[in-house]
Amino acid sequence: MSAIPIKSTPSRSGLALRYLGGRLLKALLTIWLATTLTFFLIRLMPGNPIDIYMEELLRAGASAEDARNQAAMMMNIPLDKPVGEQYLDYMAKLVTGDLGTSFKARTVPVAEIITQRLPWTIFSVGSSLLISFTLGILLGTLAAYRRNTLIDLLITNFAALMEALPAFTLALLAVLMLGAVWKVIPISQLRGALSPGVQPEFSLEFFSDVFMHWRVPAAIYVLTTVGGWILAMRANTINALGDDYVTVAKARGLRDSRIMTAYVGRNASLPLFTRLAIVIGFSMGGSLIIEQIFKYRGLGYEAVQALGARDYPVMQGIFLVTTTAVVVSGLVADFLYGYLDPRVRIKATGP
Amino acid sequence: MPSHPTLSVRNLAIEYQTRRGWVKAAQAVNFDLLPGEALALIGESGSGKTTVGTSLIRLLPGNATISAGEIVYRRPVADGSATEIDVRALDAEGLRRFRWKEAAMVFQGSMNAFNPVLRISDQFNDTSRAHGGPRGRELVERGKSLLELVRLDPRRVWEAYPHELSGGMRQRVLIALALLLEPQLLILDEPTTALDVLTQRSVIDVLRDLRKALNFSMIFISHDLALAAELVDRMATFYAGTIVEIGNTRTLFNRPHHPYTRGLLRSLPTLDSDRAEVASIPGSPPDLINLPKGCAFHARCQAAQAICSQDMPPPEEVAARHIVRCHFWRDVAGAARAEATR
Repeated sequence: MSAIPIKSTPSRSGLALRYLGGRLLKALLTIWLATTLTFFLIRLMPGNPIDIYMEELLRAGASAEDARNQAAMMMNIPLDKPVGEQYLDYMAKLVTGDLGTSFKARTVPVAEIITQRLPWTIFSVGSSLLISFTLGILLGTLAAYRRNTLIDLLITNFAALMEALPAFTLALLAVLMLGAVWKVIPISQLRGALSPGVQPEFSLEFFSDVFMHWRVPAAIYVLTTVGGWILAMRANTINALGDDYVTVAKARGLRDSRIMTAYVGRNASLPLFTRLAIVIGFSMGGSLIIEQIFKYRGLGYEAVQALGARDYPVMQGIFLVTTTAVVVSGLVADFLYGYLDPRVRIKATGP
Repeated sequence: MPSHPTLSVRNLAIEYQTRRGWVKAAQAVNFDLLPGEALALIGESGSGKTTVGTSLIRLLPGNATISAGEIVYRRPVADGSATEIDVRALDAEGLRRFRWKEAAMVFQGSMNAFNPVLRISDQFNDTSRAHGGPRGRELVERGKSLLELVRLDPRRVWEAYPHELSGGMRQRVLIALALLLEPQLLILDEPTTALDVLTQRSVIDVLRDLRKALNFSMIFISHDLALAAELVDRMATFYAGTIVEIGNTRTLFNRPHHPYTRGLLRSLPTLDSDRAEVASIPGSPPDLINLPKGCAFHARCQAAQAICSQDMPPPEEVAARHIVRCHFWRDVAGAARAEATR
């Protein structure tokens, strides 16, 4: 990754390499610490997988005897070992890339669950995030350029309202009003990420089905996150508009479009790109609430399921993905900022 | 041949809207600038000199309006006549084309005059493209030769980002950029104020050389009379938004006809005169929202008499291209001469 474009004088690239190496080492350390913490913390939660499984069976009408027998089948789970030993086993497997197998679906490796779910989360949250970000930049710029007009008033108030509204409120409202009361969206068909029987393939049917399931949760996600982008972009743009170099650019007779994009827009959006990279990291854990409400089978949905069943390996696997994504995106944000802003580039690599 | 003035300003008045009311930042401003001539606008902070300078390319802040007057710019054409441009009447696109191509402006404290994320070469390129100027190889050559003209090392500066340059370097880069499209008029607003004395010196030297080499007209806005005098042919002293005296640099220096010009001169410490003390002008400038009746300077003027608080003195041409607004210019000029010969 040539994230820091530097002049290829040997001393500088050497420094850059050492800097990069240091950052990577810190990142690994962070991931290890977080993994260790989650390992012990989730075991401190009340209830364990076996109790919960037995409860489930009893509730389903099984006799106490059956429940105990069935639960005993899970006894290959090494829960009777001391926690420290379990941890060492887990870490030993982890460094070879083995995330273990699910407690609940005993034969299914955690890695398989993640590779099945993660693409849906990346697709749904990723696309919503990009739409939200782009809309935020555009509307924020528009509001700043038309500040103290009706357009600005509408955009700013909309943004503040959306920023204040929690995702679950809007999601439940959508299900209730659009789905149940006005019946504008077929809410029962919208559950999941795909309709039953639709296979992933390169066909119109597949893509339109994907779109149908994606649109409502995506709309909720965009609506509840766009406000933050709008408000930040508006404030940054108003600041940039007052900067000397914008006045000088006008005096230089540059076209307004050039000033808006390369002078105002680029400088105003700089900090937002860093934030975007970090938010992308966090969103890899899936949107817990929205995926749950719409039964969208992403990583967030799976995380809630695993949490309910105290399925430790799956929980650990998902948390590991999230941690790694957050740490990596933090790294990317740093290098991205260095790439976009020449002033930081020098600080990061210079002597 | 008495050529057409590059710039004629007639009865210019500019007002700022503030919460307290309309600030009359400039009024009844008149001057001509001949081709190749350099004029300094001199005055205290708030005297309206920067406002007038900025209005020439209509880059005033949003709360300011040109309420009256004319700004006429003339571009000479081959047959000896000139194309007139009424700057106040330009539409947005016309104004955009006018700026920098005809009249370029170098601003006070250019520390932040450049887009921090673009290389100097990109900013030259942007400027050139906006006006259909040179491109590609031609632009690089022209840009680099301009950087040499302002005594910068093009190899170091051309591909640099603004933050890699010092304040004085940036100021000179902006001057080089201002000359890229060979404008006829260069406006410099306190171009040396934020710089140390040595850098000031080099910027002034650069400007003097450039003027010799390229022969553009120049408006030099400054509060520093001595610095301006090194550079310009003519000077205009501003007081409370109007020109109280305009004339040749030598005349103004040796025989000021307005008490304010004289006061400014007496406030300069000099090495070559036997004047023992540096004198300041007592009092402070008037409120530009409620200007006093009569001459705006009368409250601070030692030569003031009854009429000064009643009637605004009219502009009087006391010699060729030397105009003064003072009822008692004869007395002031006489006193100045007496002092000079003493």
